[in-house]
Amino acid sequence: MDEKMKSTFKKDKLIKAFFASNALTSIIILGLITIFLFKEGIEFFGQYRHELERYRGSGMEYAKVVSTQHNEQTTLYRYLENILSKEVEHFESLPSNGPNREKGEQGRQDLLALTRSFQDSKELLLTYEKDVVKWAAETKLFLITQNDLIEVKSEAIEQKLPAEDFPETIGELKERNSFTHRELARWRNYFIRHEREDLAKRINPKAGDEMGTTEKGKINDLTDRIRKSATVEYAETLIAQEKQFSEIFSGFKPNFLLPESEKSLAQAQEALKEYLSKVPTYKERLTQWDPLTPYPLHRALTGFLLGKDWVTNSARQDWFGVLPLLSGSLLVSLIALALAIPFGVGSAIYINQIATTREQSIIKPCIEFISAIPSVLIGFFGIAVLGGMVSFITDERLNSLTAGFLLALMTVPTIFTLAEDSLNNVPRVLRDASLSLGATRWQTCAKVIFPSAITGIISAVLLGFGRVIGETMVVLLCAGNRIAIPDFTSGFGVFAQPVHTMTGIIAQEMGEVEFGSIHYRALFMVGITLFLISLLVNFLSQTIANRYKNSY
Amino acid sequence: MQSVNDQKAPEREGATEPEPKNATISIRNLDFLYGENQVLHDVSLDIFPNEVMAFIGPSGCGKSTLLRCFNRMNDLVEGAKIGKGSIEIHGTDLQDQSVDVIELRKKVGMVFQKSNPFPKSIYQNVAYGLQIQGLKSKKIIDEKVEESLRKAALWEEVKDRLNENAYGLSGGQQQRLCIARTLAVEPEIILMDEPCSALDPVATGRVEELIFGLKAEYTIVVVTHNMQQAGRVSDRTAFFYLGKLIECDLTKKIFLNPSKKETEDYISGKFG
Ligand SMILES: Nc1ncnc2c1ncn2[C@@H]1O[C@H](COP(=O)(O)OP(=O)(O)O)[C@@H](O)[C@H]1O
Ligand SMILES: [Mg+2]
Repeated sequence: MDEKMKSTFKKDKLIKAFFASNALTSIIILGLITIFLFKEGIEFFGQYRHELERYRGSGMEYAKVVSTQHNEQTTLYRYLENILSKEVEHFESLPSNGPNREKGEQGRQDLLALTRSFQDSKELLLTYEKDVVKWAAETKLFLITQNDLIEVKSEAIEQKLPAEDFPETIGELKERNSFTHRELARWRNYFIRHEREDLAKRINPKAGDEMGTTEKGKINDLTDRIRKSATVEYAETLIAQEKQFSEIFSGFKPNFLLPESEKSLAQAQEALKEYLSKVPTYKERLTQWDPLTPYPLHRALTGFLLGKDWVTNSARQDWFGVLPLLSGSLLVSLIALALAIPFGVGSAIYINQIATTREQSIIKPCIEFISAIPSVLIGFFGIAVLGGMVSFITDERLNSLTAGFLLALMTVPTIFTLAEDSLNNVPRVLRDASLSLGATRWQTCAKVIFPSAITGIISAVLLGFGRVIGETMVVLLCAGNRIAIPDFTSGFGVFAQPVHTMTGIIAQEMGEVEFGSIHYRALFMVGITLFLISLLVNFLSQTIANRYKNSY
Repeated sequence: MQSVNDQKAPEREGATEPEPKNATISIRNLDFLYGENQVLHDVSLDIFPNEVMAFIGPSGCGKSTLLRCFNRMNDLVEGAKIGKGSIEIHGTDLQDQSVDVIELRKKVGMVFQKSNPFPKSIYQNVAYGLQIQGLKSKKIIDEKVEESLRKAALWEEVKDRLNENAYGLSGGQQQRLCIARTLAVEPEIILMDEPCSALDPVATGRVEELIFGLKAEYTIVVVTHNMQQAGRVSDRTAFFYLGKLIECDLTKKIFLNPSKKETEDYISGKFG
């Protein structure tokens, strides 16, 4: 008897330990995932700051200002081009020997000349911009090479690589600051032989001789070239342009066929005036550019969170701003929810309040089955069928609307099931009380049952949102994958724009990035953003659900 | 509670069997079934204006079922139906096609076993029945809310916190709020299904007092399995057993001198 009791006790303990360890394991894994995500992601900021410092130090930042200015001039040019094309179009529609023909011919020639001369002037700045970009690219290459060289050198010293093999003794290596082309090539071979591809990859023998230096001072020569050009070439360009602009317009006698061209020209001149008023700011920004001003770390953070560009593998500069992806994800999710809420909640009300037991037994499993369809199949359907239907309303087959529709389909079961649960949890006695007071079924539903279930329904919707924003396959296949912040000013047109999403970009780019690179870390940061959003949504829905539990 | 009994005693002395033709509710040979399961057998009973009728009997004998027939709440139960017989209120057969259930329920109010206020404010609970009828005037609603709460002897306790959630009230207050909610619709008949079963003795006393006071204006049918309670509040008592009406008589007679053996056994606590 005693023995038996002991053994049941032991068994009890074992079962308990089994379940406890299961629970514990999942908590530990969750913790590990969190730690891993943050560990991989957090270094992004240091790297991004470094990258931004290089952006500044190489002169790419300077070049960017020049190209912004040049873009403004291009906008001005577009004004003139527009007037010209309208005039020409009208001219060509005139009868070939009409009275206006000759007048039109003259006007057209003048306008063409005006546009051409403006373009020529604009070209001056473009030429300068190209020079600056070239210099900046050189400087950037130098900075990268130098940085790699310093790192490789210190690693080589630290690792105590076998001296008899190594072309330099450690002591010598420490003293040396500049390396020849040939030395770098030898190093690289050495690293390859010792299976240190990671180091070998960072040595660029082509950069040897004049670039193969670790001396910080050398960089000044390169940046000075850019800095000095602000007061010489750039200043000269501006003066020449300004003079030409005023000459072009003062020498021009408008001779238009279309009355509205008059107005457009006035507008163009107004825009020119506005541009000219901004020129001193550009000038100031360029003359004050200092390649050595450090970038504060928080600028790397804001650069990520508020950055409007996600540009990778660019020749000039990579940008890792999460905004286009975040806004794409949110847009798609909002479309999905806007569709899924009425459907999910509506069918929950139907099932709960109206449907017969038989209808319930058919509809419920059907809706719940939707969530069992693999998302890649839903993506197929989106590309093959829905895309075609969407393209009737919008220009593109794959856009936020297509993805939104599909995600709505996928999240209806979540919202439906949870909303139905919460409707079911409204005590029957409340329904009875309402009916016994002479309320109709609809009044009871709208005034008693629905309000009592509303917190549960809200938390159902939040969980649906969590599901939508984390969904990957469907958005990757059907959202159109254009990395740009949707143009919210275009009214309903915003729904027709292709977008890219946080989940989509991770799935798309993670396979190709170099392990440990800034791009890799940036993708982790996107993942962390997603993680935090999911966490927040989950937390909110749980708080709301708890409040709801306590209200009866 | 003592005072209740004192007040009541003389009146009951003089009470006589009323004439069936004046009945508010008259039940004739009623059979009732849940699917195949017959739970009421050939019940015939008259309930008269301004009386308090108590239904007593062991649990499961069909008291609630009969009560729910009076406002057709059994319609909500799938498979529930009247086998034969009829229920008339003021001569109208409740099963008749022409009966508007919504109107019927306004006329026949119901208070449930466990207090079930809506998760709304105290004010909203009482105003609910009026608002669903389409009453808009805040002034009239305000007046009716106050009047109903006064009738339910709750006004003094809640007048300063009408906008607080009803779940903040005690159990007894909640039940009186449910009574006020029913009264606001101005019913003629009030059905109460074990209204005090979840209340402590003090709260029970107050509700009983209230029921007794409401008699002047309403016809009340109250289900109870607390026999003292039946004795305190009712004029007549009907005893049910296994779905049959065993006997119905003046409460005093049922308790002091029942004519059926089963009633006597039940009263004296031999079963149930
Ligand atoms: N909704 C229902 N569906 C099926 N059977 C029911 C239902 N409600 C009550 N019954 C049955 O009817 C009988 C009478 O129940 P009820 O009227 O609640 O008795 P009482 O109120 O006297 O305790 C019981 O046997 C019970 O099992
Ligand atoms: Mg009952």
